[in-house]
Amino acid sequence: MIISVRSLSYDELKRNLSQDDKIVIWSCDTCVKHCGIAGMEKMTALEELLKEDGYNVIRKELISESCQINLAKKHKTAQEDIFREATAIIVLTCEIGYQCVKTVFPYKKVIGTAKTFGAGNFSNRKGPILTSPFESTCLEPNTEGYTLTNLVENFNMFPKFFDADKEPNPEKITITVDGKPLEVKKDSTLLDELLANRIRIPHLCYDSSLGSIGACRMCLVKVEGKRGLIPSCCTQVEEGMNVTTEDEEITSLRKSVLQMIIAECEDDIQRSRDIRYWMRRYKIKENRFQLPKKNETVDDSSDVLIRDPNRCILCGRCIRACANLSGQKVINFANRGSNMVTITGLNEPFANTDCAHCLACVHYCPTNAITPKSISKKISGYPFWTLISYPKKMASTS
Amino acid sequence: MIFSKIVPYEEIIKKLDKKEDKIAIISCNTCARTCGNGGISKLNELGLRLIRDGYYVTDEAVILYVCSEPMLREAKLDLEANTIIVLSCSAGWASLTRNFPDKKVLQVTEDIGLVMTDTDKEIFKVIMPYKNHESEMGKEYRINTGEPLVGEKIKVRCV
Repeated sequence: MIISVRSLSYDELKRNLSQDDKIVIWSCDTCVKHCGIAGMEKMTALEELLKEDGYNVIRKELISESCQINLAKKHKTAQEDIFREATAIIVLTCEIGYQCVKTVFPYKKVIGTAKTFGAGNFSNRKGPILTSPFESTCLEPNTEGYTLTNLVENFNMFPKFFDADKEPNPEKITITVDGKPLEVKKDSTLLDELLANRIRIPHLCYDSSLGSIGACRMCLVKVEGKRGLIPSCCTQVEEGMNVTTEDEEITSLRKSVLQMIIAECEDDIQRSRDIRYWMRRYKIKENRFQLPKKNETVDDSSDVLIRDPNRCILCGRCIRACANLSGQKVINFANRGSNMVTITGLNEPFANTDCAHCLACVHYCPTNAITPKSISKKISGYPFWTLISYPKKMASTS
Repeated sequence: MIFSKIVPYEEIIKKLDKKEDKIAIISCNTCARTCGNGGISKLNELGLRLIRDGYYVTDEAVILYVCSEPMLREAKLDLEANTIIVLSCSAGWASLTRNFPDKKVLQVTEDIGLVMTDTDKEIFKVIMPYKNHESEMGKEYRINTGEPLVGEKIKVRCV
């Protein structure tokens, strides 16, 4: 991964902006996200800070890999009206991502926020570390790596994101959740606020980076004055809202939804951490529905990905990740109702599609229906005469 | 994305011992694959060549990000080998060196710099080279093979 650190203070950022600017915040979702200076959460924090100071943020644009210039161009085309209107783009990416954005938007004010130091690792113990620094840093290559704290101290950079310079103070409203009052951000989604306040609500199709479509029906809650149960991922918070997140009816409904998902998909769907957690929580031990199991072919044609439709729960996360984050639209739904399936390209193998291998679908799939292709095999004990057929064996195992 | 070039095969075998070394080849499936030095095809190519030349290759693995310890842990590598050849950038090599301290981890690639890619045109372009490779600045290569290209197909405005 590429190691980058924030190089601009909030005051310097504001000096580059004017109050009349129409601002787009652009962020990469790969290396810099792991360095703690990008991603949807950080974009939202920056948007709140800027709005509080009277700036006009018109869009947050999340891209799966900002160093792929063709993806940046596709984002520009997909949001042409917004980008035509925009006068400034704040870029939360590494320096390569910055140059891609600058190339795609040559006549806009593009403000880079990070300095790139070289290549590094993500360590379990230390987080992101720099192991192969650029010579300009005067640091020696080091397998143990330099932590971000080392870099910040040595190069006078900024240790955390912009919100560390100034705490955002968004407008708050009060709602009641399970009889207790709760202060939440105005104009935000009910599910986001419940999760932010550590109230666990099951959700499979929702992710704050991808938005909501209300497909999985797992996050249903009761809101006083509203008919029936409503999906909390598609509901905005309102002043005085009275929400019930758990009662007998809600639990029974969530259990049924979960059991139907398990009944239809392959048994190894239970390897998914989220599904396993909720099965334990709702004490689901066996399957009460007898639905025919899917029997689709696993697509391992790609060099990078394996797609197993038998694990797919049709939550649409991969489709939204591919369309919104990468801009490629390689994955799609086909057919309707109970015949609905996800397909790649024009119902062709992954290898024949325009997949950019940005891996957005892999990162957002909740059930491991799309996984990276990793191979680990023992190949000891080849007698000499089998070597003639060795390439064929390798091809079939890969 | 990080661009690294593999050293010639002759230099790789200079670092190996036919009698003593049990070899594992670990290949990165992200940047190194894009730059034509990793992924499944390069792993197969190098593995086959080493076996044909009489080296004892015991394990082969392809990992999505060799530079990520969580990914390495997920791969649950149980290597019989005492020598690891890493087909990845120097960051991947550093990661394996740290995680397999009792094994000889060979670096067989050299970092060139950071690149911008265009997967539609199947090209990548060197944007931030390391100091020893400043002459590579602006050069373009074919994705997956690393074959050098003539002419400029990605126009960058601000390098």
